[in-house]
Amino acid sequence: MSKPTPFTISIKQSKLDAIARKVRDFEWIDVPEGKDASDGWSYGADQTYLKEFCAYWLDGYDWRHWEAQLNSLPQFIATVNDIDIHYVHVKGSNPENPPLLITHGWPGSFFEFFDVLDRIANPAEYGGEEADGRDVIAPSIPGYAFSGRPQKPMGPRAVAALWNAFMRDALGIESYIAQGGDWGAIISGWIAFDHSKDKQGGCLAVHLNFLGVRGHMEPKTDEDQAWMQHSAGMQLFETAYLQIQGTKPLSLTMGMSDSPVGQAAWILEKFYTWGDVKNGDIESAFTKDHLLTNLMLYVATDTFNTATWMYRGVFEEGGVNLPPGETIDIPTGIANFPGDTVYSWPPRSMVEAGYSNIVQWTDHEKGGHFAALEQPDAFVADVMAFLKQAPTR
Amino acid sequence: MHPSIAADPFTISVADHELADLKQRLANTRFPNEPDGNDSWDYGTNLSYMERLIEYWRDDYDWRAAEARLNRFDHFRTTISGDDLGLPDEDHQIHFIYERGSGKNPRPLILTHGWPSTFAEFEHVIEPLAHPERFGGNEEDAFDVIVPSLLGFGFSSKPRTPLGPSAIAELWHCLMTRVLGYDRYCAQAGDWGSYVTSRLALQHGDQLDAIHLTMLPLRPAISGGGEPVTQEEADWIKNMRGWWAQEEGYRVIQGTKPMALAFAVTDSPAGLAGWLADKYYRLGDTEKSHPYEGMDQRFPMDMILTQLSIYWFTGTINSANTLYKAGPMERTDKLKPGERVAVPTAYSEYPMDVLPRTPESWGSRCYDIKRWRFMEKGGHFAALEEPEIFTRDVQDAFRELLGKI
Repeated sequence: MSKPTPFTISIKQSKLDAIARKVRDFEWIDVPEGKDASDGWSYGADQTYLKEFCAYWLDGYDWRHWEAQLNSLPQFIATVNDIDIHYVHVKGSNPENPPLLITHGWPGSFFEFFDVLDRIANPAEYGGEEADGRDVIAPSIPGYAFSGRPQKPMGPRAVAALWNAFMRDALGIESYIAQGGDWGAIISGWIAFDHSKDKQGGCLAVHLNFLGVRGHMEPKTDEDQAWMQHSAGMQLFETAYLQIQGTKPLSLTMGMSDSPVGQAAWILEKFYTWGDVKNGDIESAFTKDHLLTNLMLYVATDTFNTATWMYRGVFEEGGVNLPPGETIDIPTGIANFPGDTVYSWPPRSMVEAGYSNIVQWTDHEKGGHFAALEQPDAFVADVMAFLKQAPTR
Repeated sequence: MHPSIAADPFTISVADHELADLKQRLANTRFPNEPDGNDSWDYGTNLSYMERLIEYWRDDYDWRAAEARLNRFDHFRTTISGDDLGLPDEDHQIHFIYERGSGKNPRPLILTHGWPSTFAEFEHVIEPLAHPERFGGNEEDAFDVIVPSLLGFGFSSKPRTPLGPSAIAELWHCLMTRVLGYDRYCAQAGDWGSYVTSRLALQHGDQLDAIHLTMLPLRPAISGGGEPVTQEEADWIKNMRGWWAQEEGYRVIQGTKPMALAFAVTDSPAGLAGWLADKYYRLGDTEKSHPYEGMDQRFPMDMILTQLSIYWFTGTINSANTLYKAGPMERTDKLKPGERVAVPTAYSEYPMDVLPRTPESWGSRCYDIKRWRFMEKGGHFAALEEPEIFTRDVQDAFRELLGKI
C-alpha cells in the first residue's frame, strides 16, 4: 500500500513518432467486394473509413492537445496489492455524500468519462445543486492505460476485491457507490455482491448500464423468449473477439501490439457495432477525436495485450453467474441505452433474477454501449437521479 | 515446358525491396508481454518461441534459397473465368505446380492444401509421387502431380467476391479437364483442401477415380431419416466439441469478422507468425513439453518461415482467412438426406493434438469408405511433417482403390 502520488500523462515524442511512422507506412489491403461485403463493416472493419481515419490520425489529430485535456483531470497512482492503480479523482462539492467509483470496460478507457466526471462531482456549475455533488473516482483497470500490469490474467471478481481495498485502504473511503458499463459493470456487480456493507465491504449501491453479473435467468414470457433467442443469435455472430481473447490472447496480440492500424481496426469495429451508430456512419455516434484519444490510450501505452487478459481472467474465475439462489440486494439502478443491440437488456423480470432491489430503471431513447461518451447529458442525469435516492451510509 | 496446356509458365520471384521491407518490419517489431512464468502455449503462441522466430526470420532465414528450391518445379498460372462455370463474373488466376510422372501411363492426381498452409506443404512429396522409381518405389505407381494454390492463397489470385469450396471445386475441375486435358483423375487433400475435394467428388464424381483424404469435412444428415448417432459417435462428438471450445477462436473471428483481424496480420509479419504458429504447434504432431524445442523439431524454423513468407510476400493472409467466412456461406458441408460421396474414398487419420479417433461409422455416413487407416505419427500437416510416410500411404491407397475398380 502506498500513498497516492499525483500523475501526469506524458507520452515520449519518440513513441508518438514510431506510431506515426507505422501508420504512415501501412499498405492498404485487397478487400472483398460483392453483396455481403457491400456495407464495408460486415466483414469487420471498413477499410474506406479506416483510410479516412488514419489520414486524420496523421494530419489532423493532435495528441498533445488531448494529452493536455486529459491532464486537466486530477490523476494519481496508488499501489494496492503490488499493482499500480491509475485513477482520476475529482473532488466534489459535497463531501458528506459517499463518493462514486466509476469503472470503464473494453475497448474503452477512463477517457469515456471525460465529460461527465466534473458534472457529477460539482453539479452546481452545470445548473444543478451543490448539495448533490460528491467525489468521483475513475480508475484504469489493471492492464489498461496507465495502471500497472497484473503478473497474469486477472478477472473482474478479483478486480472488484482490489477496488474495494483501493477505496478503503488507499483512499480512506469507507462507503461508496459503484457505477459501470462493460467490464466496469461486471466489476461493479461483483463489488455489489462481494463487498456490500453487510459483507463488511464499502459498497452502498450500484448503477449499471450493462448486464454483467447475473442470476439464473429463466424465460417465462414471450418477451423473455425473444430476448433469449436474440442473445443466442448474437452469440453466433458477435462473440469471436471474446473467444479469441479469452482462449489465446497471445496469438492475437502478437500482431496487434506491432500494428497501430491493426489495433484501430479491431477496436473501431467494436465502437461501430456496439455504439448507437446510424446509417452505417460511425461518426453519427463518435467523433474521430474521441475515437483516437481512446485508441491512443491502448496504442501509446502498449496495453492492447494486457487489456485482453480480463477475458481470460473471467473464464478462469468461472464466469459472471451469481451462486445459485443468491442475489445482489443493495439498491440498484439500471440504465438501458438501446443503441447497443448486441448486449441489449433483457426484460426487467429476468434482470431481477440477480438483482432483488432495483430502485431505478430507465429506458433511454438513444445512446449505446459507451453511454457516457455517446450521451453524456442523459448519462449524467440518470446517474444523478440514482445517486439522489441512494443510501448515504 | 508443356506447350499443349493453356497456362503460362510462372516463376516465383520476390522483389529485393520486398525483402528489405520485411526485414525492416521485423526489426521494428513491438512484442506484447506475457503472463509471468509462461512457458506454455496455453495463452496462444508462446512469446519466447516468437522472439526466436522473428530474430531468425530477420537475420538467418534465406528466402532466396527457398525460392530457388520451389522453382525447381514447373509452375504455371492459368486464367479461369468464373462466368463460364456459373460462378460470379470474375477471372481467377490459378497457380499450380505440374510435375509429369514417370512411365507410360501416370495417373493424374491433384493435391490440395488447406489453412494455414500453402502449396509448399507438398514440396517433399511431389517428386516421390511423380517418380517413385527414383525413391526406391515402382514406376507403375507414378502420378502426374498437380499442386494448385487455393484461390486467395499463395500465387493464385484473391477473389473480389469470396468463394467457398464448392466454387473452388468447379475451378479445380476446369483446371484438370479443360486446362490440362484429363478425362479422369484422382484427388488427395487435408484441411480445407479436403472440403474442396469432397465437393469435387460430389459435383464431378463421374470423372474422379478415387480420393484420399486426411480430414473428413462433410457432415451427415442425421435428422430427417438419417441413421441415429451411435454411442461411440456421440462420445466422439462430445470430445470434439470440448476441444473446439478451447481452440476455435481463430475460426470464429475469421468466419464472422475477418476484416477486424486483417489489418494487424497484414501489417505485421510478427502478427502473421503469431496468428499462424499456434496452429502448427497445436495441430502438428508436436512434442509439447517445452516452449520451442518440440516445435523446432517438428517444424524447423526454415520450414515454417517458408510457409509464412509465402503468405507475407503474396499479401494473402486476409483472402486466405476469409475462406472461413465464404465457406460456411455456401452451406455445402452438411449433406442432404440421401446424399453421399460415391467416389471410392481412402481416409488416413494422422494423430492430432489430444483428439480421439474418428469412428469409421461416422466417415461412412458421408463417404464410400474403401480404406480406413490410423497413422502412427505425423499430424495435421502430414505431407510436411512425415513426407515418406505420407507418400507411401497415398501410393498404397490408390493402388488398392484403383485396383478394385
